[in-house]
Amino acid sequence: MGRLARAAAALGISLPKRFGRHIRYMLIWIVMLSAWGIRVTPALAAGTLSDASVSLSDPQPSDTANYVFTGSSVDGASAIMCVQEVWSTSTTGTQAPTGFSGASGSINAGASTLINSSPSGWSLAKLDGTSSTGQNNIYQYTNSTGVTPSTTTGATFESDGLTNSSLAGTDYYLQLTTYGNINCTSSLIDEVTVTYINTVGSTLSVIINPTLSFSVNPVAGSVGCDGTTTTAASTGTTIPFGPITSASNGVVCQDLTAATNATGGYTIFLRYTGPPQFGAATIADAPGSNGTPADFPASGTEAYGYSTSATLSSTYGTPTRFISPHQEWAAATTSNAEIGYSASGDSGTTFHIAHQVGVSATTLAGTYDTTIIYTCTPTY
Amino acid sequence: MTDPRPSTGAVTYTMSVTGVSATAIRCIEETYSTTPAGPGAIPGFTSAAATVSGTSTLLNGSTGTWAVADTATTIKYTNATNATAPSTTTGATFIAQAITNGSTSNTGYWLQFQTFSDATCVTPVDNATVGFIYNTGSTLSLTVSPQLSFIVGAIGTTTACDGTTTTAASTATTIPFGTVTSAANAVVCQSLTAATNATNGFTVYTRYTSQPTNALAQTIANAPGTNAAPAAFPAAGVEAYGYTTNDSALGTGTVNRFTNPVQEWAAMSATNAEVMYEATGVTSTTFDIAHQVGVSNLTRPGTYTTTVIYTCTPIY
Repeated sequence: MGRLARAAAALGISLPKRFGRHIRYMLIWIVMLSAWGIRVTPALAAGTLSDASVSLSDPQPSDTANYVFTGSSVDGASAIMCVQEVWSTSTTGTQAPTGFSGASGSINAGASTLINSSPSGWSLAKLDGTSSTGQNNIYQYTNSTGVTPSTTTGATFESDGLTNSSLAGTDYYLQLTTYGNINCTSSLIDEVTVTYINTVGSTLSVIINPTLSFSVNPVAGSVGCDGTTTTAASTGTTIPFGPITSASNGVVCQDLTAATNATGGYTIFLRYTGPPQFGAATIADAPGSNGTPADFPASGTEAYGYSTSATLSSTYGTPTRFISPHQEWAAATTSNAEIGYSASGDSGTTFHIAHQVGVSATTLAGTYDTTIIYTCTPTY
Repeated sequence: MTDPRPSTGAVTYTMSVTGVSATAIRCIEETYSTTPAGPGAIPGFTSAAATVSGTSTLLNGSTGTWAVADTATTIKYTNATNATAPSTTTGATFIAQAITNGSTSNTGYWLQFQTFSDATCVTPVDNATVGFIYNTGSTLSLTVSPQLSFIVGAIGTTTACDGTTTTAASTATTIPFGTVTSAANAVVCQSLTAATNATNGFTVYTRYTSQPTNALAQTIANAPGTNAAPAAFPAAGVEAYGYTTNDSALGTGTVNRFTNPVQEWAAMSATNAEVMYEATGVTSTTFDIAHQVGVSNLTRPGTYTTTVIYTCTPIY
């Protein structure tokens, strides 16, 4: 009992000498129990974190991912000096998941409210678990000053840049433990083990085929077309001017309608197989060219040419060369010449193509014909 | 003993006896001892604060008032005016309460039980000595490991799924819409099955790595709805990609937002969005995730791909 009295004295408690023996003993035991209670407080605070989970930014096998641990019921009265994470194949062992690597990982302290989102004073040691050479599946994040968590519910601890296990569909475990000692062994504060699983992503694929529609459509007679008026009706396959005299030119139009999902849109070209011909006689070409269209000659001048309502590409000349400042005309050629254009795919655009012919007093009588060929070329 | 563990307090000792004599009892004495016949204090034992239960059937039929007198090892229960013999003579009980057990286990001790016809406990009527033993309790422990399973399953073509019908079959790792035109939307479904013993269940999220993209880096537009506010999927001819779920009890937002009042769809995003939820651990739960794509006449040709990622996160 003298030893107990001396222990009480060491704690600054002097026992009243005139008190009875039993009262002195009682006081001694109160002092000793109080001292014992103070000493064991950290141990009593150790607990299992609740609402705990680990979220992987990418759960696919062998991918690099950030592991965000979240937990509640954090002991907010104890200073954490070590946060230990063990990625393991079991709930209590230390063997690393197959293919897992923490070698390139780091702690994102700024995103870790468990340590008050501050990197100050912390250092990371990476260790290997059992049979896990080089996998660095044990992280010990230590701070000799210690940090008392201010967030005790939904606290986070984020480890970034880890390489996932190469196996999908296998349960793995993250053991997270906090200690009040940088040896990461003694003064246990909180702990929990959570499961996670690696999952193969699903490759989504959609195939969209190229589409193109192109039609040549009739335009009736006596309708406005490319700045003039048709004198005869066309069909989808004929441009029948009918009888033409030197007194007035003939005009026949066709509508070209195209649609495509081609990335680069399309170009429509026109050519003929040759000048309109009757025996050895031909109708002269109009004076303009596709690159430089010009006014169509007045009636009484032999000429055949075409025009378009389209704004063209800049590949072959000025895009508005046929329509600005006013409608112009070009001679057809046996090589393709641009008459329609769309810079990107569209769901349906119609161009008006006008054909005009004039004859002179000396143009030989006869039925002249040729074939006009439209070609629509999408660009993917 | 209601509790045989050493040093346990507030224990009730029930003595049961048969062959009770037809004599009026005025003293009942219990002595707890290390020996069957003599004195001997049981280490740690005390009956100093013991009481006797009025439900003791050995007292049945007695008259007058009983009083208890205790020591650390003995209980004396006396009634000088009782004039009636016990009415219960077989299986009669005498129940002593508030006793603190001895501190040593696996050692035989004895309860010396006697009745007397006088209140001074001199003239014996019946007696019996019974042995008893303290026994340390056994700490039972077992460890249940956290468990999780999560499986992405295939769903065939021409199968009802999330309010629509699939147009192509999936596998566990592919969502192959095949060739899609502006004339009709395409639908592919996958099933997600999860099981866990996690206290707070799990959440399954989905995301994609990017919009479906072709070799020219052209993309398919997102559906108009969002995970928080899903919407009707556009009619055929409108370019869109989205998903839906048949889980009508999600864990965030309006829990049945995808299924009520009608099936609704959301744009996929590059960040996790909830598609499946259980509030507690489950042995197995399956939900279907439908993916739908529509294209317009202007949707650029090519093969569009992306990766859809499902993440199952249990919460312990």
